[in-house]
Amino acid sequence: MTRRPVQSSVALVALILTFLFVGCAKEEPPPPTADSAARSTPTPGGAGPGAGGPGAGGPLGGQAAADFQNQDIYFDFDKYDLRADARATLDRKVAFMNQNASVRAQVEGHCDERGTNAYNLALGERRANAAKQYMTTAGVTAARLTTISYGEERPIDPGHTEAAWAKNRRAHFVITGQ
Amino acid sequence: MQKHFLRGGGILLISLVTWWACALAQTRVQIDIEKQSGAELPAIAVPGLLSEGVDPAGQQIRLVLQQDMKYTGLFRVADASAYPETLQAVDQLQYPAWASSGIVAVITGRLGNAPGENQLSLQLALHDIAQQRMRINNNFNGPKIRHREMAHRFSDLVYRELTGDAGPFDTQVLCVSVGKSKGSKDIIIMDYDGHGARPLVGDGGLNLSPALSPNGTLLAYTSYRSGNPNIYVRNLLTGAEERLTSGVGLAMAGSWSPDGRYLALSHTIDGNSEIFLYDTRSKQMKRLTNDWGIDVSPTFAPDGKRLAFVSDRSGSPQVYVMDVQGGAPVRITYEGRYNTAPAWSPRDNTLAFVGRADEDRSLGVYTIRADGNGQSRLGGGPNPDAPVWAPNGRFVMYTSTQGGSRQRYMMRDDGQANHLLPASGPGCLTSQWVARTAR
Repeated sequence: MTRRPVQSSVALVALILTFLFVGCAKEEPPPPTADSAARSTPTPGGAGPGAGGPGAGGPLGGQAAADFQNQDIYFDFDKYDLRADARATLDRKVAFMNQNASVRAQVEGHCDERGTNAYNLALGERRANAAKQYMTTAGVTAARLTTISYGEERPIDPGHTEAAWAKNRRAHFVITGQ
Repeated sequence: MQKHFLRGGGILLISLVTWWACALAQTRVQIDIEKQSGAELPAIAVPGLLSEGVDPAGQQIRLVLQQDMKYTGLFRVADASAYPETLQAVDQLQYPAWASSGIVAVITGRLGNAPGENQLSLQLALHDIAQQRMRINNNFNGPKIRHREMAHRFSDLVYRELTGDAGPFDTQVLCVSVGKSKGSKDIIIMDYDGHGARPLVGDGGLNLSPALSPNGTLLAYTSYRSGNPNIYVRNLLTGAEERLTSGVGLAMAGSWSPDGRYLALSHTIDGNSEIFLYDTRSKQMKRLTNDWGIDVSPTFAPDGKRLAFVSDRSGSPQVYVMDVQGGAPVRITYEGRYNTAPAWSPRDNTLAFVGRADEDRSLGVYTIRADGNGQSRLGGGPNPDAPVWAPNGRFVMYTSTQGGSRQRYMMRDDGQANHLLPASGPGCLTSQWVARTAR
């Protein structure tokens, strides 16, 4: 373990864009519906402003990049193993990263509001790692994917219903470089 | 209760303490009734303070005392309509009249000006109606702005007089609170009742899992400011700050050892979260766990030799206890498939944690002994989080989303006298309950 403070690590190119969310979950619990509009996760504190990020008009401004960042994968309560619908979504992300070999991305792990804060942070990290592991096994270079957990800090749906919780138990992808 | 008798002093076993002990013994078998209403508890009266002229601090002090007495779980606060007389002096009561009103104790007080600008002089007394005498008669002098502290300190004296334990009222709570910027969380400290909140970390970023060292000077917490969740330790006296962890893995401050030398924390390395001890003297990090599962939320035992933490190495999150010198962790929770957020009582071998009942999957606040025996569900309402112990180990505070938003509650360590605490800013998540750190 490194104890000494390490000077500023990877500079993140932040990105806050609103896209139409395309639902893809097919298994229990109830997945988000296809017409549910969702907002991308707010940029974490500490990340720089998102001027000129990918998707903002660059070569990756197309639908494929939008889908990559807006199709979340979903998890069951207190689980971090990948469901079949999540693997199908990740296969498309792998294809996208293979077609755009310079793209780097961060995988955010999220939880619903139930359960305790500290454990949910750990759970979110496992979800992000599970997604990364799947994609690196499928051939994406590990260095192109970073992970971060927000636990229950960044719900995409602030509601307190099973439907809201199902949307919040997710891994979300943000393109951080290309 | 018997222990309290002996400690309270052999000769004064009658009246108030007896009354109270009997009432407690009764409520133990009338749990449901008492949860609905505190009517079975003996009544204490807190009439308005006698005062040299009108001072708003007097009314505040009275409200603080009434609030604290309610939260003791020992009393209900009598309505003013039950008072048999109007007070003339702090030390003179018509005891028989109060007795026939069914009131067992009365707190009387006088507020006056003390020499110096904005200083006040506060006399407070506790009357034992059955004994027909004052049990406490104290004077407090100090700045007027600290009148709430004075009232809390008197409440602590009352609690100690009646139970033999330190009181829980002149205390503060460390919280993670919703910040002003979107998605930000601040770390704040405030009185146990939510008053006097002040920010310790509020940089507009995401700050989590604070742990304050026993002497109140070192604040360990997690910040995302580097782009990743890392642990920082800030000296609150000098403002000096040190980053303890680096890398992309999740790092969360857990708990300081009772002697303040070690910080127990969790840190993810190579995708795997483990428990570490950071030694503030040698600046060395020592790894305590080594397994494939999630290991988080370490909490020190008061002996400083053991700690409890959460691990999902069995396939579900459960509470484990291990020796800080090393050795195999021992699993202590076996009921249900979700047991997290352990907090070791500063008093003994009891831990509080959040668990989920198998039958209805509801989350609740539980206690269990460190050997795994004596598990008990105290309550906790919907989605409870982060139980913390009062410094005296007699009360548990936690948050719950009952009513829609996350609010704080406190209850006795047996789950009785569960009370909603006054609102304290948006979304406060309790992290630690400490003795007042600065006067």
